[in-house]
Amino acid sequence: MESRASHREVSVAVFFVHGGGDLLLYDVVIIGAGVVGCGAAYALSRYNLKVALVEEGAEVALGASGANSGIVHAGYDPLPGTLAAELNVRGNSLYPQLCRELDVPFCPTGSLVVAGEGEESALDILLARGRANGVADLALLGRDELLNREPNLSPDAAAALYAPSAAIVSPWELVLALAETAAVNGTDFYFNAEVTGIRVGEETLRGVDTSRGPLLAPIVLNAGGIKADLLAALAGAERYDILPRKGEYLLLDKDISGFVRQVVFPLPNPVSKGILVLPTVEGNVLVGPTAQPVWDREDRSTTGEGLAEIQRGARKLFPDLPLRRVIASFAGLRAVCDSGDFVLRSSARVKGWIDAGGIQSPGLSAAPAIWERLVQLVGGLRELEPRERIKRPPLLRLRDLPLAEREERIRENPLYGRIICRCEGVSEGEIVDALHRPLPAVTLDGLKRRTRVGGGRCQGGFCLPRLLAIMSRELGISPLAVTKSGPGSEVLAGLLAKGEER
Amino acid sequence: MKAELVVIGGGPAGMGAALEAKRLGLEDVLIIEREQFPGGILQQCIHSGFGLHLFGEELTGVEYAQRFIDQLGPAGVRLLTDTMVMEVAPGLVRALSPAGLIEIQAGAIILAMGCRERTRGALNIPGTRPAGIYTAGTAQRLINVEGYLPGRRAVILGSGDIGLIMARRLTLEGADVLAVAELMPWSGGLARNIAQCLEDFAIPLYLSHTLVEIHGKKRLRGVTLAQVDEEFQPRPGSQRYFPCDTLLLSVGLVPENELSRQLGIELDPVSGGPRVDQTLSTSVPGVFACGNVVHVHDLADNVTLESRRAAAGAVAWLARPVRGRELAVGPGENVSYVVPQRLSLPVSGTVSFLFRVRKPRQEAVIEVVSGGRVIWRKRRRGALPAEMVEIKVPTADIPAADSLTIHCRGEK
Amino acid sequence: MMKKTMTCIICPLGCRIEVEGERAQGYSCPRGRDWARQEAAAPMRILTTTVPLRGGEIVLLPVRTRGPVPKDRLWECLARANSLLVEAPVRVGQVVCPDLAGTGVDLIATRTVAEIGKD
Ligand SMILES: Cc1cc2nc3c(=O)[nH]c(=O)nc-3n(C[C@H](O)[C@H](O)[C@H](O)COP(=O)(O)OP(=O)(O)OC[C@H]3O[C@@H](n4cnc5c(N)ncnc54)[C@H](O)[C@@H]3O)c2cc1C
Ligand SMILES: Cc1cc2nc3c(=O)[nH]c(=O)nc-3n(C[C@H](O)[C@H](O)[C@H](O)COP(=O)(O)OP(=O)(O)OC[C@H]3O[C@@H](n4cnc5c(N)ncnc54)[C@H](O)[C@@H]3O)c2cc1C
Ligand code: SF4
Repeated sequence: MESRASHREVSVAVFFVHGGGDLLLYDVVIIGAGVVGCGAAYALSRYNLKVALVEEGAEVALGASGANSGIVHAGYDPLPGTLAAELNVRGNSLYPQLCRELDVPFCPTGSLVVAGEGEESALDILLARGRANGVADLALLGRDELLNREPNLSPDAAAALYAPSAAIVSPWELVLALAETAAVNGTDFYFNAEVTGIRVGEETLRGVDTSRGPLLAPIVLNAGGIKADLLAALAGAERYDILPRKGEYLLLDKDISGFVRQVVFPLPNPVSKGILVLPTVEGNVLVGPTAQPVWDREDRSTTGEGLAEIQRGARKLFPDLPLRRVIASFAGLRAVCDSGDFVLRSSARVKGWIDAGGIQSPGLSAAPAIWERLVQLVGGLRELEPRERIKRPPLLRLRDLPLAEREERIRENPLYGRIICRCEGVSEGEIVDALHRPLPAVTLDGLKRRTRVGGGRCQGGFCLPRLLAIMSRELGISPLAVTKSGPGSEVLAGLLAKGEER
Repeated sequence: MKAELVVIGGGPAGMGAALEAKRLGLEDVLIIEREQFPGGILQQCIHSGFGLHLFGEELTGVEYAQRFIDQLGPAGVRLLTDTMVMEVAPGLVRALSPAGLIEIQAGAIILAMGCRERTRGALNIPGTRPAGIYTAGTAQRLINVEGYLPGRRAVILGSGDIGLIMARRLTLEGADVLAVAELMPWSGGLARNIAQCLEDFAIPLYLSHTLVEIHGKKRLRGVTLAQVDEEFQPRPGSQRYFPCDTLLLSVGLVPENELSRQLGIELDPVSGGPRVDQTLSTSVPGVFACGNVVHVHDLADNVTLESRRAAAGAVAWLARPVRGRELAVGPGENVSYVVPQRLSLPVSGTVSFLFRVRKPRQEAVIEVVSGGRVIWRKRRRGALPAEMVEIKVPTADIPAADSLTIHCRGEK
Repeated sequence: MMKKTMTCIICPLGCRIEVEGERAQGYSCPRGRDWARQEAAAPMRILTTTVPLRGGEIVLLPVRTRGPVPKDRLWECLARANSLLVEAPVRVGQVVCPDLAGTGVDLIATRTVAEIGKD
């Protein structure tokens, strides 16, 4: 676990910066640990560069990248000629190989856009758009074929556009894999570090100021998601405006897995793709998202109206969907850009500033192609020297192993035999591993996303007391210091006021 | 490994069944428990209110469990702790522990896995997702077993017994409980708990109220409660904000039936547990169930009585593995579910039926109906949804019909 | 004499009992009647709580008062219990603090706890 040590040392180095020591020098500083920022770090780790990634949250993927539908879209949706269209189709084609390389769950399920009686012509428009964008193998399906593929679909469904190249991915596991690979290849990650200022001198970038101290670099890559426009303004780069648009979801229990087999869309409306129903790679059913403009860029709350709208939308596609089996609800914010397209460019005003802003849907699908662009943009500012990239340490997914194979693992480490999360069958050994990986879990949410502990239908009720004990033991912190999602979200208020010694 | 009887879960249900099976003469009885200690949920129930029926004295949950734990060794029940059952098939149990994979050939199996709590997700409560939201049982464990105070100002959603008990506990440990909110116009807990847990400490109970929003980004900052109308919709203008750092959810328990589902056991969608006969036999021959895994009990004493019936059923089945003709038992007017859901004929002596009413009744008449004819009837002073009702019907009264229906008629 | 209405806390039935002087009504059993008379005169409660435990397999020992203590002295009893520190091993029923806060009622352990590392 070499890289973990370096991750820790760097944290210490920042501490010295506060103490007035030497400033840290990097070739590139990336702002934002979403799929764009971590992907850029991953892509740049193939070159001889010293890269830092700063993130205001305690973890990777706390923004849009951790709260989306997880669809790798085929690419028939964006208007032909846009960057979004081009990069979506390219990104889609890169996914299978990428996920294999990174060991990230990816399922090529395909997708359906379903039209009712008399609405079939809308599908022709999508089909034409898809062909113009270069999407392969699109097909129109009639009712029988459709019900054959999705037997639970509403009987009102008349026809569908079938896109075999659409897929689903675990966005969280993807971002983590990108970040861990970057970390083992030398990228320094700074969490809980909000970028508060951009240092520019003589129209040239010098570095960034963060809430944990300054980081100096001649190139700064802005992947700040919902706040990218604010950062661009802070740097004095060309302006664009982002309008947050909230998308709420309901996550249903795994025990209905199989109810829907692929990504099922209704016909799109002018603002969004509508309420869709799809499987997740973990085997749950996901329903959503809504599309509601909001002003607060931190407002990730769900609303009564939103949840009601999701239920209505879901019933329209799947009248018998067991909506009572909800285990969680959540929301993400789309970074909708006033230009209507991705903003990917090197600033003409501030030399060294690169924007990757307005990355709304299909940002996840396009991401691998976005990184390619970003590497080109960095290459336009300095020379890039390729180097070997190493893999992150392999993941152990015990729940996927037959019991007999688990036995072997338990012989290596008895903690693999102590089950902590009954819903997801996660062992203490896997939890301990997650606390010591290249980018270790530091919060309960982080643990949940890495191991799925507490992510099942009991949502952590049973395992919380045990997790507190394990985190405290492994991280060498007081259980009182354990947080749900970073500083300020401590789980416990204190010890009971008992005894002389407590 | 081999055992005549494998009991999954070492709570009161599991221990009760194992001890009774021993008493009835089984040689080799094994309990598998995933926790470090047997006792189940009772290990965190430090409050009193247990054992009045069975032991004639008022014990705490922990004491009640201790009485069974102390008997396990002398009775010769084998106990595996720190061991989680992962897979069950008829006659075969597979479990994991730090010692490795354990496979047990089982003559008969008794499921006694208890239940788990409903969570926020299941309620669909809108708002943010900050720290500070716990199920009441999790908070109970944090406080009573681990010694932590989860928060300092709390609101409790749901007035079931666990919520009421926790309102008192939090208060005694130095926290402020601002409100207990209940959706229904009546409390889901026992009257004695409202008296000694809320009224004793002047904690307000808001009936016909629900939680409409959760506030706070990192740690909970407050909740909004509102009164509901007859359709359970929030009444406009009745919203009230309570600043608090803790929300406890006491909104119901669900039988823990992952393993039962895996086995393909028929479940009752209302009780949430396996459909059983009067011997607590599930739909899979040789597999029995008792305790909260069958249906949520409010009294541990009833769990113990049920566990003994299950043990007797398993012992009888081991001696003579046959099953007779069946007679379906179903809920009728104002009854949500009945356990057992069927009778395996022949029956003898008296049969206990346990059920819950949907709505409270001050004067109730309980009727057992078969083929349109009332075969058994009894008056009863009051029936509340919070209380499980038990009736004992002499088998002589039960006809050789195909089905029985149980009604709880009467005035509101 | 004032009439007092109360919910009986002796058993799960929770009868509503009215007490006026020596006369009580609404109870369903003699235990409830006696309790109600006591409640009208001077309410009593059983206190259940935990005390820190040293050297045991668990860190908190669940305890209760052997019998009820005056309700208006509950907080005093709790404060006294909270100041205790008990050493393992402990047997269920063992007196942890005799005559708790001068009430004449003992505080007893409700669980058997072995010393850590011993069975
Ligand atoms: C509801 C919804 C559904 C979607 N569904 C899909 C889909 O199915 N398929 C698809 O292809 N795309 C989808 N998308 C789009 C996709 O999720 C996004 O395009 C993608 O995640 C954007 O990644 P990002 O890295 O740009 O932004 P983010 O993931 O938001 O990351 C930005 C990061 O920057 C950090 N940051 C911001 N400001 C600062 C600062 N000052 N200092 C330090 N750090 C800062 C943030 O904390 C955040 O972690 C969806 C989006 C939403 C919201
Ligand atoms: C918070 C709370 C307060 C209560 N208060 C009262 C009260 O005041 N008075 C009263 O009379 N009753 C009360 N009850 C009810 C009573 O305690 C329960 O009904 C009783 O404990 C149920 O017993 P059980 O054995 O069915 O389940 P549990 O006690 O839950 O035991 C189930 C056991 O099975 C184990 N298990 C589960 N799955 C597995 C697996 N796969 N492998 C191995 N082991 C497994 C669990 O770890 C657990 O130990 C209360 C219940 C709760 C939850
Ligand atoms: S009066 Fe008797 S029956 Fe009624 S609640 Fe009290 S103890 Fe129970």
